[in-house]
Amino acid sequence: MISNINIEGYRGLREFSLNKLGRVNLLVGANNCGKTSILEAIQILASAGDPLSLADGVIRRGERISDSIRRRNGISADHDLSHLFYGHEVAPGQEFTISTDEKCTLGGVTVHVQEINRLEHSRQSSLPFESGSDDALDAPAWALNVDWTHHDFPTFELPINSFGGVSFDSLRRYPRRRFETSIPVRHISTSGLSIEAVVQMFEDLVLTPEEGLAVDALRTIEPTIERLATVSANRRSSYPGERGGFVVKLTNFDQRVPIGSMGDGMWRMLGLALALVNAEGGILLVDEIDTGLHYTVMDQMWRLLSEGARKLSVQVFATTHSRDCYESLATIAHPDVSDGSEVTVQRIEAGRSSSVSFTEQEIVAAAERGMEVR
Amino acid sequence: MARRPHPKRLLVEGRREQFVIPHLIDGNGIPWGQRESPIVEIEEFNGVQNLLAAGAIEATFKSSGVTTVGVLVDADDDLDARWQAVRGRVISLFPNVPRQWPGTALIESNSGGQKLGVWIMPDNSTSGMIESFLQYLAPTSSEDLLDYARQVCVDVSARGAPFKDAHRAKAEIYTWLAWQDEPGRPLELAVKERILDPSSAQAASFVQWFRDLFEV
Repeated sequence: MISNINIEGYRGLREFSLNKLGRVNLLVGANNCGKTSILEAIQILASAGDPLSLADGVIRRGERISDSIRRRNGISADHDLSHLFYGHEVAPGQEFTISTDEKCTLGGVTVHVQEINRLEHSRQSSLPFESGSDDALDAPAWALNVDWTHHDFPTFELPINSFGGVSFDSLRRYPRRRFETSIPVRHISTSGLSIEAVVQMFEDLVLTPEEGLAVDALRTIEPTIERLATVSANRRSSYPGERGGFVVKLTNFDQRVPIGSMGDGMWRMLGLALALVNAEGGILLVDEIDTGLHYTVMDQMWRLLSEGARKLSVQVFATTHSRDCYESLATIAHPDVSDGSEVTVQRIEAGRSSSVSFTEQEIVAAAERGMEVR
Repeated sequence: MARRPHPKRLLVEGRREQFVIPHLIDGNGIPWGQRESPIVEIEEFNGVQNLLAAGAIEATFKSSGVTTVGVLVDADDDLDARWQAVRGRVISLFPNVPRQWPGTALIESNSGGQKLGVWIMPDNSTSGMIESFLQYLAPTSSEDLLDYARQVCVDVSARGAPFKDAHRAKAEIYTWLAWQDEPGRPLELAVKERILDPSSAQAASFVQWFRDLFEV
């Protein structure tokens, strides 16, 4: 478990630390204070520097180099990694560091921009920019050097073009075998999970002891659900926000019902439960966890999540703007626990270098008096 | 309903303090403000055990936007024990608060720019409660009457009056209030109507602590 994390120079976080973390951590704070950046930083650290995790946030945020800049400068790779760095610029010397304390096996990672060793890169055929994809056109300008602060992983370099651009293809083709010590990380963004991802997770789970958790999660919203199954129709659809791939059987209904007929909360709960199980032994990150959930099911959502997290050894980091969401967190917090809290609220404030961390006791005290923790 | 907390908060044991303090401050020429926008928000805890329950003071400091928190408690019969209980709640946020109660009102700042104030009724150095403090506000001209009220409370104890000794200061002030014009005004109205004098010298050090702490 991560109990402390320090982030320096990553996105808008010049220097920031989260302390006294627990198993279930809810991040609150104003818009643009860096909650999502913190989730991404945890993902990068826990993925042991997998280059795809570096770009995950970039892709999700749609940070791309514009067509006109790419045409004018004769470059093709368009995923813009410059925004990963405080100040939105890539130049040699720029770097960010994400680290935990000595006790945590995840250690720390520093990513810095450096001059590329062109000779070296022209000799290594396995590296990006070399084989027949689009970005073969781009001359690597700099390299992102990914360096482990207290691990003996080999340092690796990811070539980028002069605008900080990298192509998705090159990220995907980057050798992965170096990252075996990473722990499972599942990140549910504000827009939720795609049908393909959810179906995949369910099929990994089906006929295992954890299958019941998915059905239990849906029953928090619709108690008459008896079974959940995948269907082939729609499962590969990439229509944004589409719900499909699943049907449920309800008590007193002979017809099976598509999950898309049952409201956004169903989809959210299914995604949460499946991602939790798939993050066994690792980390679950959920941006705006309350999305689609009515306040009446929030207590049950937290109970399901915290019980599942304990059973499966998952550490959860979630964000919210919702009062119902953090007040309902008090229902799983123990009023007599301060040291070693399993449940924490972390308020992120612009201009502060560390979070304001609420223990279980303080979460309960604030909720009882209706104090504003956000 | 969660609310955006007032940045300046005074935490008190009960409704008596909540009602009396605004009149005491107002009576010293510091306008308390409208009901919905007071200069300081007073929160009462329905008992000192709730105010000093683990998490309550800490959560107040951690609520968003809170800059200053005053803690107003009664010494009752053990001032030092009361201070140790308060200290246990604030030490994580204000590591420099003294181990021994200094015998005067306390104001501390921390590295996060927040301020803590502690006042232990009646005067930070003797046992007692807010009713003991309010006895200081009885006009000098009424000292004999107040002494007589105290004597009466001793006498009635001998006759089987059931009030507890710990509540003697309450019995005394209500007895004295019963003999005023108009008789039996509630504490806060007695202050407002100057039956109890908010500008008495004895009240001045409390008012000064309040002004220094909340910067009003």
